[in-house]
Amino acid sequence: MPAVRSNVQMHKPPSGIIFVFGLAFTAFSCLFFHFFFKDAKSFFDAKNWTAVPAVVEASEVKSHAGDDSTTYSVHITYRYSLGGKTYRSERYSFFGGSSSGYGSKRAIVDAHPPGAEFTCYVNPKDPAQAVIERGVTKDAIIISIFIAIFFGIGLLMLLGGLSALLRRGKKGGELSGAVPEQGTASSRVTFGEDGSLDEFQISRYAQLPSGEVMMKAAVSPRMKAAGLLLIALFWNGIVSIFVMEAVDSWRSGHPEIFLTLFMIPFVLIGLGMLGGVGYFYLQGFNAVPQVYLDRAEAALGETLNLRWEFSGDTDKISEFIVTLTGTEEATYRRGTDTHTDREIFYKKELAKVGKYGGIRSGTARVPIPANTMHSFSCPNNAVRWRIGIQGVIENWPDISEEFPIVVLPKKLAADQVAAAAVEEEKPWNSL
Amino acid sequence: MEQLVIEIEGRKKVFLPGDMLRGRIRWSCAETPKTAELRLFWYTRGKGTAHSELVEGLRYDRAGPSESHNFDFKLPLAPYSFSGKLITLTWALELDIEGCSDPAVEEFVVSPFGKEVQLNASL
Repeated sequence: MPAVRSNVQMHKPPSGIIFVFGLAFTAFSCLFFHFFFKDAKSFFDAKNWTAVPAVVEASEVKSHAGDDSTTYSVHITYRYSLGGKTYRSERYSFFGGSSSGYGSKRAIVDAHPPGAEFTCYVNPKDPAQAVIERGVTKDAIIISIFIAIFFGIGLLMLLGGLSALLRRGKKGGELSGAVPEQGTASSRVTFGEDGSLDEFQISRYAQLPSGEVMMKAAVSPRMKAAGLLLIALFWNGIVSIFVMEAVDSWRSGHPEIFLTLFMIPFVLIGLGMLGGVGYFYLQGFNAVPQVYLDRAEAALGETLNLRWEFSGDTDKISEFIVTLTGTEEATYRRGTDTHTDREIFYKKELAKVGKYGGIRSGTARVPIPANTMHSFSCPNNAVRWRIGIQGVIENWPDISEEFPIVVLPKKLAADQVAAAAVEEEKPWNSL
Repeated sequence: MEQLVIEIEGRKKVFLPGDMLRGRIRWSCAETPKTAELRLFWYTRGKGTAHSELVEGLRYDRAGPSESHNFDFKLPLAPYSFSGKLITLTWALELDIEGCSDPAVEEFVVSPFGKEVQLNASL
């Protein structure tokens, strides 16, 4: 059955590829940085350069047609005199290259028509070196952001790939390569008595002196707000660059209609993210539920005892529900994106309390079903169990938190353990 | 004709976690194999990227073109064989003789319930 063999031997996490891509991203980022900012050190020196009157000889916006779009750059030729000698220069700023956005370049060129007099800055140690704009230009900021993003992504891929490679190295999980060389006629190699138990999802809790455990939410509303805010800032920061280009093009009379239409969905997503930040921020003001269990783990068929306590105002909560859910999760790649699909295979309401039923604190039993799957996790696939807390608040974001728990495999009965021990001692010739 | 065979004792298809898995393997190859290995493993397939985990392996050094051997493995307590809408976890034995025909694979179920766990059946 070759198909099974390929499942076994070919589907490994592409940590090596991630590492190589990360290396390429960081290397190219450094290369681009060098290309665009090779003269950037002059930016610091130019603070002490001499201001000298200059005259524009020629000026134009040069366009550079690419495969996907056209980029523009400022070209101004000017002359100036210092120490009785006349010099010519074409340097506008210390940051080279061209970029999209016609309007801003046009404005610069319009401000420097042929024959116009202006002030340039000349290096007193080398009067042949001159510049018109000795500060940081808008293009330099945009290019810096892009390079920083690519460098950051590359660095993350590099570290992620390296970490995955090291983990794999420690685990030795390659099926065909994991059997070490040994000299005996029939050597046995064991990879752990407990199978994949070490792969179980770890629940987050704090052990209390009373013996109870205090569960910690998977992600608190404030963490969600902070995380989404970072993503929204990153997203909107990038989008705003292109929005500014689009606005610039309309203001200069050369509207970039395709860019404007193209940016609309990106702007809407950015606004949606900011809306989400607001939602989670408001959710952070809700009463906070603390969930306690009599122990951190339970095997299939066992029952946990749950206790909850709210801190904060619970008067606005109209309904409070505690649920137990089992979810299977599959992570896969589609193109360059990674997706995780979730499917709930078990859901049970453990408690439901109305407005006047004592929401502030209460107890519930958590019976773990006997004939189902224990917690399980491996790269890309998982079965997870969670206790869900939901508090319904009218005209306000609801309370909604999840507390992961560990469900262990069914405990073997004493007679099963004894039978297994006897079976283990049986000779091989029983076939 | 080249042949790789895995025979599980009593032709059992379902095992309890912690059970002993016993059987016999035999192979008949045209030439002397480079390596001969029997592997106990589980793998996931389905919507997520597949994953496999080797649990235990037996390697037969200086294997001849035709041999047979008894084997036994103590199965771990987890994970169970299960099948859901997104993921299926399957246990299997693989007899891989390098330099012979394609590996032989024998799938079986590890579950305390006498059958593979069906996830959507519990909803």
